[in-house]
Amino acid sequence: MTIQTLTQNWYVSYDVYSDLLQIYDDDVFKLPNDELKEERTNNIRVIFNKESSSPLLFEVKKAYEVLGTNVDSLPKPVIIKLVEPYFSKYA
Amino acid sequence: MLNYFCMPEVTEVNYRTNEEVWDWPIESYSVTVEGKEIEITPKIPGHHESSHPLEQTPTYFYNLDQVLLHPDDVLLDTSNNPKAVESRKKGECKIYIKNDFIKDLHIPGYSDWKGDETRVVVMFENTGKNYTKTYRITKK
Repeated sequence: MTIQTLTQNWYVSYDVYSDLLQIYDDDVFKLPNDELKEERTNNIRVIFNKESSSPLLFEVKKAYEVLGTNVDSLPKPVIIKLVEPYFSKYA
Repeated sequence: MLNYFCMPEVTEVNYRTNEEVWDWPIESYSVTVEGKEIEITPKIPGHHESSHPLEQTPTYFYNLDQVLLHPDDVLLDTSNNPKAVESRKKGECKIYIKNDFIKDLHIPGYSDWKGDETRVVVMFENTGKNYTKTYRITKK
């Protein structure tokens, strides 16, 4: 499954003032914490379903600096493409 | 010996019900926070195609005053995004944060949400005008 397909129904949330980018499946809010596992580095956090290992959320802090562009002005498919290298590394 | 006169004041939080506001048009309203009047403004539809639908519901919108009145945290905007840098020239920008806000609103379809965080970005302009720039639901 490609990342574009996987994230088709995901939401993109970006706020220029906190510079926090989150791409997520609604299900990440519905599962209790003990059914989720998390991997993180300084600026990147990925949350998975513990049982299926499916990714449910991908987060970039300081997104403007990490990605080198203002994602607020980009459509969703372009944002997904932009984070694909990071996503592939973790998911 | 307990001194009941020194008990901390409990601030009652009155969340509006879904039934009360479900058909209200989403229009600006004001709240006074620490002596400053802040206008809570709706999101601009279509600004970002992937904005979560919950961010447009009347129940959520009309309760955003509770985030400003009872935040879990308040951060100063330190973003290097050019839009944020440009806004800071006009004044101070603060981010009001409230955790697990959604479940207390009892919005149909969202009662089982866990670990949500609401961020309301407020602009305090040098001109004295205060208003919400935007608001977002994120995962804690």
